[in-house]
Amino acid sequence: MSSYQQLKADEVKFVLLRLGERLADCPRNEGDPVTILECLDEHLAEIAADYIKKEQIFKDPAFGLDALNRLGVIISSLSLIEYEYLPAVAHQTPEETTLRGVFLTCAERLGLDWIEDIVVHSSGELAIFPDFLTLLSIPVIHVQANFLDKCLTFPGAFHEFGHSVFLRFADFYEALNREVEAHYDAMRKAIGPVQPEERNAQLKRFQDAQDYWDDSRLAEIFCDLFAQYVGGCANMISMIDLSMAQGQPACYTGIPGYPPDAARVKVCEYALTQEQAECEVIRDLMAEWEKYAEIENAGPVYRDVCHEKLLRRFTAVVLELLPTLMPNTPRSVGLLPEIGAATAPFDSLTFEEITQRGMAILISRPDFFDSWWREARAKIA
Amino acid sequence: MIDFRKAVALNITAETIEKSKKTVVDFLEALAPVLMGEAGGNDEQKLILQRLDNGKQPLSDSGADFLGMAAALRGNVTLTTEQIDKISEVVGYLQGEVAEEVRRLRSR
Repeated sequence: MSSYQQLKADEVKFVLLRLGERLADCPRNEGDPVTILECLDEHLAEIAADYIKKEQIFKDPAFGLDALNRLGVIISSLSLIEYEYLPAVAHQTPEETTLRGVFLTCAERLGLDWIEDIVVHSSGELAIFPDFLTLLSIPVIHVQANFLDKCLTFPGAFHEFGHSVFLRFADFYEALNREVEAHYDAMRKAIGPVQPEERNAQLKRFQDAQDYWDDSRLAEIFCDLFAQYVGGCANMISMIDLSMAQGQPACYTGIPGYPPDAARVKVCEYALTQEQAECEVIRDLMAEWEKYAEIENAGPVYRDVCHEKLLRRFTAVVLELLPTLMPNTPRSVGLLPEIGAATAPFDSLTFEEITQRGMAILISRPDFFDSWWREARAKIA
Repeated sequence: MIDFRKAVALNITAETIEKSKKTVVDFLEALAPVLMGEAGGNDEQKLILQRLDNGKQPLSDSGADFLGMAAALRGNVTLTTEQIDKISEVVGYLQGEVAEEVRRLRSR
């Protein structure tokens, strides 16, 4: 007698077998993400062993939905390899291979010493898949096509590393969440003597605003601040680009999992050193952005969730915690290099140096950018 | 009552089953008030509420059923296959959500 349970279990068994073969077909030469492939081999072997151990349960009608749920755990583990890792590791382009080396050494310099290997996937958007079943050592970094031609986006890579840092240290989430709680507690206490109906309406407003700051949104704020910490002025410019590039309303609060762009720009602005904030390029671009963002005309929801005091506290706690938890992460406290320094000869450049120099040249000598970039790209470390 | 055939297949002890029963009881007793509209619930409970709100059975009835199952487990009464499937169904909702979460890509 046929049953869906048996049918599904047999299909999963076949998928397991084919996935093993597909992984075995992946190239493992110098420059390929061999550590990741070995890690995936190991996990696949564990999943296969688990399947064999429970095969009779999966097919036993007495287990019913329970068996399908157990099979579902295996399917979701397999889909992680199949949809997330395999497309990234199977056919590495020369740019992906270059970026893999660039990001690996960058992660090391930024103090993300738990990362053992990285695979880069030109999927079209800048993003990270930071953990493989809670394992933080083998992230997949997604980039836009021709990422290395998009200088304004470079600091976004620091943001993506921030996701790994945020998952590595729960302290950041806890500290940011404490700030949210403290802020809205203070707001509730500050409600004056009003009618009960008005009081209830205000309490609901504050509760909704507090609930707005879920872990995804706090993670984004943290990652922006991490990028600001390591990217300095270059990141500030990149954040303005993030906000203005596609004409999206800066104070829009309705994006699931993301704070409004205006809040993201503002927390980075609060993290600038005085010297950075006062430099001409940043002042000019921020003034242009302020006009674009029109924060003064933001709606009541924005004003409730992105109160300046709260955003400043976000910045303060992250700047306070980062040197403690990530003592080897260098902070960019200076200005963009002067044009002479930016165009100075070099044997090789790190990703951080290319980010700073590239941004400076694009601003001051856009006519020179193309020839400089061709050399820099060939010598990127 | 313990289904010894299943316990042997899963290679779990009677002691483990007792501990797990308590986990299930706690889970059901916290879920039932949410389904019955008596509590707001956490994200997981809200997700189950949304999935069960499909017109097949009033949510309050589902809540009452889960309370009945929790009471049965507390009283060491064996659950029926239908009851176990009902619990497995909501566990499946959560598992699907976990699968989505572990595959979540963080864009900038």
